[in-house]
Amino acid sequence: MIIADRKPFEEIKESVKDYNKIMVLGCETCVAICQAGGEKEAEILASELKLAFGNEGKKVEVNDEIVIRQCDDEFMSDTAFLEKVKEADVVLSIACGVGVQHSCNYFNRIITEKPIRVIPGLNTTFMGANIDVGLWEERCLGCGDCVLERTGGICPITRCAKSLLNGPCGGSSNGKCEINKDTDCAWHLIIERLEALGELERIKPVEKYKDWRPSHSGGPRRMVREDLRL
Amino acid sequence: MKRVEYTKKLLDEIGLGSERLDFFHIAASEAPMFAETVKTMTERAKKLGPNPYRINLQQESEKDKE
Amino acid sequence: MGDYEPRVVAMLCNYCAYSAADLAGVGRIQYPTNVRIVYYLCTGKVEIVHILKAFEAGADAIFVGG
Ligand code: SF4
Ligand code: SF4
Repeated sequence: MIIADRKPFEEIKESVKDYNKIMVLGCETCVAICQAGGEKEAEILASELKLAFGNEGKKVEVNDEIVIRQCDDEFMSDTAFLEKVKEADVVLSIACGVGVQHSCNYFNRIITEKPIRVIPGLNTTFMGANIDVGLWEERCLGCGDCVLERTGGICPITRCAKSLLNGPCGGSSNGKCEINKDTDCAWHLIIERLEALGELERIKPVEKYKDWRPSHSGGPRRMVREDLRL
Repeated sequence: MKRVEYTKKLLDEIGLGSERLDFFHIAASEAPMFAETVKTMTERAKKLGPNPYRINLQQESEKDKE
Repeated sequence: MGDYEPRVVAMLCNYCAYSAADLAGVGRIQYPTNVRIVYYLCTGKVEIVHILKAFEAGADAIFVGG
């Protein structure tokens, strides 16, 4: 899932200080699971803003709302909800960057009376997994041409700091990567896993170059499924 | 309790001040300890003065009345 | 500000601190009367937002007792 982290409170406060009616908009999918932008976090942020502005003697109206997913029109089409969006001076979205852009685009497409301002409350960090309570790690870069079948299910593109296809490099020591002692060497893990599987043979052939065209290096990507198109 | 610690951090950010919140372990039999805690917190609240948020709101509503 | 009476909120666990508060009552132990008690089955259920809302409602100090 997509992992995100809340922006520092000062930064958020600064970004909404010129508005009187703020809607904090949470997203109940990825960012709710990593406890950055779900219902609870929306309530907390709304309350924090109210207290912080009230403290300075400034009266602002802050409401919190949530939708199931800000990256899909379907979940934002409720008329009563759109009415509330229209009334707000600014929508402070605490979804990932996809959600912020998509909700902004959607609101401005549907609501014609006035332009809608949507600003982010989170920093979107990576695609990763929940490793332990309160711990998330990056697992995939979305390279568009997956190599996991050759690497025992461990991604060298993401988890090797140098994205090596023929690792490990000389910086691997005691299973750790030279960039930082908390980071496992991906190639150490790959070799261990393949050994356990009895498939070490798999990494013998030298991997030539990787086709990076399907990755972001080939520009923003797009996927069309003709079978699903209306 | 970690959640209280985290909320104290939020209070500092908001500008209310983390001293306004605290966590105490009080066992069921420790009635005097409870009374002590209430006293401690009341003293602290007296020292810190009223919650500025409430004061500002009161002024607002008085203005509204005028 | 002369008539400032601090409003203290106590968020208490049923099994420990609330029993202590109860016992303080039974034992007639004196403690300040400006405390408002919020009763929880367990202080693990105290949410950050409960604390913030209490400040919004005008609390001057809050303690969680468990
Ligand atoms: S907007 Fe982002 S966080 Fe929300 S569901 Fe979509 S991808 Fe996940
Ligand atoms: S090889 Fe590419 S698609 Fe597969 S896990 Fe790694 S980054 Fe993701």
